[in-house]
Amino acid sequence: MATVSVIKIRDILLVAVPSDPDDFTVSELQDQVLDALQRYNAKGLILDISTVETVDSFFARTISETVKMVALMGGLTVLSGMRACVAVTTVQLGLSFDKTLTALDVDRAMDMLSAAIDSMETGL
Amino acid sequence: MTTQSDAKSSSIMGSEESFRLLVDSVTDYAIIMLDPNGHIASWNAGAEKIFGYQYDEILGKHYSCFYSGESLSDGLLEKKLKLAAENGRFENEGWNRHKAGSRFWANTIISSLRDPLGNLIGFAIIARDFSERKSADYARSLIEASLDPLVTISPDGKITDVNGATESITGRSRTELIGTDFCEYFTVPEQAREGYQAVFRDGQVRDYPLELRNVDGRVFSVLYNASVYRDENGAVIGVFAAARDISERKLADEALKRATAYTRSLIEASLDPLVTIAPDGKITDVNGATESITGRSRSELIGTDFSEYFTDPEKARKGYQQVFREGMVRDYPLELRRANGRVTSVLYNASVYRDESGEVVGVFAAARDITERKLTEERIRQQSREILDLSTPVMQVWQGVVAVPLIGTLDSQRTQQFMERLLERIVETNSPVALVDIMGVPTIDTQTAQHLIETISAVRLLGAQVVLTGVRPAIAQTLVHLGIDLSGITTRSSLAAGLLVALDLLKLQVVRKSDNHLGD
Repeated sequence: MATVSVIKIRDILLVAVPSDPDDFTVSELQDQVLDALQRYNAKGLILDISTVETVDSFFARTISETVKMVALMGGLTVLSGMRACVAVTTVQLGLSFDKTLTALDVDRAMDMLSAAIDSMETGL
Repeated sequence: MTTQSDAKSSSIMGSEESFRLLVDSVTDYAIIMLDPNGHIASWNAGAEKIFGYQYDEILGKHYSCFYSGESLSDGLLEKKLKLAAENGRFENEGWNRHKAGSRFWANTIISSLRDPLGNLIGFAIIARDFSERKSADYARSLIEASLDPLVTISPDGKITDVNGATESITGRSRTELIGTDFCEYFTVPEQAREGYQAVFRDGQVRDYPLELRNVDGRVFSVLYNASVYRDENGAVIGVFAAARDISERKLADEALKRATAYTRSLIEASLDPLVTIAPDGKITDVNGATESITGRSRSELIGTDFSEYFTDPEKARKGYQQVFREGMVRDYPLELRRANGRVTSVLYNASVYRDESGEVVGVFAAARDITERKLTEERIRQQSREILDLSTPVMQVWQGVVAVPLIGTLDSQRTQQFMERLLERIVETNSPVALVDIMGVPTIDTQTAQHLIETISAVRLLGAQVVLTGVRPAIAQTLVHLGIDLSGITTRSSLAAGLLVALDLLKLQVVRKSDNHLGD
């Protein structure tokens, strides 16, 4: 059983998804992320999937749901580092990550989230 | 008898008794006397031998007992006697009846007997059994009836007898032929001599071919069947030879040969390697093209396994077995190995062929050398691959911006390749913006649009954005008419406009240099 580590950087949570996540790991990931979000009162979540080589419908659905759950708890999620081959497979299998925000890498995801959080705080 | 005294014998001579003894001593002829009405008055030993009746039992009987069947009808006997009485003599040959009931052929002379005053006192009949002669004549007639020229040859090679057919085939009469050398009537006398000598040596020859020359110069091809014939003691008398005129057959054979040669020349003229295969898979015939493609001669090939000349013998075997099973195959691909090791790609068309009775005799297979065609196909494949590569160059036009001009029709295969290359380049160059220019795409249909939308979705998943540029008026119209929704995608009509959007997304700005700078 692969363990998922959730790292907090300021207001943002960073999760590196294991390379070959099984169904249990993905579900576990969801629980841990939501727990951490509440515990640290984080505003944003970066799901880095740069090591993930294959995706299936369960993975796609769970990630989409997690994004919605995070939003309900007032957080913003960015999916970062998807590999080209994974993107092709996802499109061809007709899988959907809904309107999840994406970024090329963790750096850009951090930029996006920081900007969004800043505007949220200043705007509100 | 020789012990009898001269006196006694001289007293017998001249008497009526001596005449009777003379008549009686003749055993080869029947000498019979009839009274004017046809009743038998005297009977000799010869008559007894020929007709089988004893003197006592026949005396006084009517001479009709010598005949049977049709010989008795219509008063023929009375007519014979009448004729004999009128002319003094009547001779004929015909069937007579033996006492035992059997028939025999006899020559009969009936003479009338008259007293010095000319009164008819009876008839004398002299008859001889000609049955043997009759059967010889019968045999002769059979020989003459034969359409095959028949000839008998003596041990020294002279013709001893011929039949009518021999006369007509040689154009010479029987008398001309008999006594001449048998061999002199043939184009090669020596061969004829060897022929009859072989018969004398071996007892017979069969189908001995000779060419017979007619007196008018025509030459007939004949086959001789000959055997020796013997006398009753078993000694060889000569050769009996029967010829069969095969000139017609020879002509037909030659016509057939010519036809065969013609067919063969057609087969040989074929540039496609042709081969015939027996049911056991052995090669039974090949043409010149097969010789050159295999690099082996006809004699090397015939009788060997067809399958052994291919890189995959099992496949070759399956091929001809399929032909025997289904009657034919088309475009059966095989690789032929030449004697020098080179491999030639061929396609086989093959079908079964049959004898006159419709029985399958073997497989006739024609190969087509497709090495050239295969090379061409390979070249075309390679070129289309290159074109595919050429047609989707993904270039980095700015830090963080890649651009790809699409040229030509987008099919699934191209889209797949285009998508992969674009995504790879985005990741490689870490570019958040991709410009996809469709200026060079001639038309867009639902499927092409679907391909584009898929690509754009995939780019988004990476965390980058696509700006679709080069949307010409015609394309814009088509997209709207087809009801394709591209509302979530940023689109521009020109690449320049798209580049501005890209720079804007990257929070960059193009600023015109100030006049001051220009002046520096």
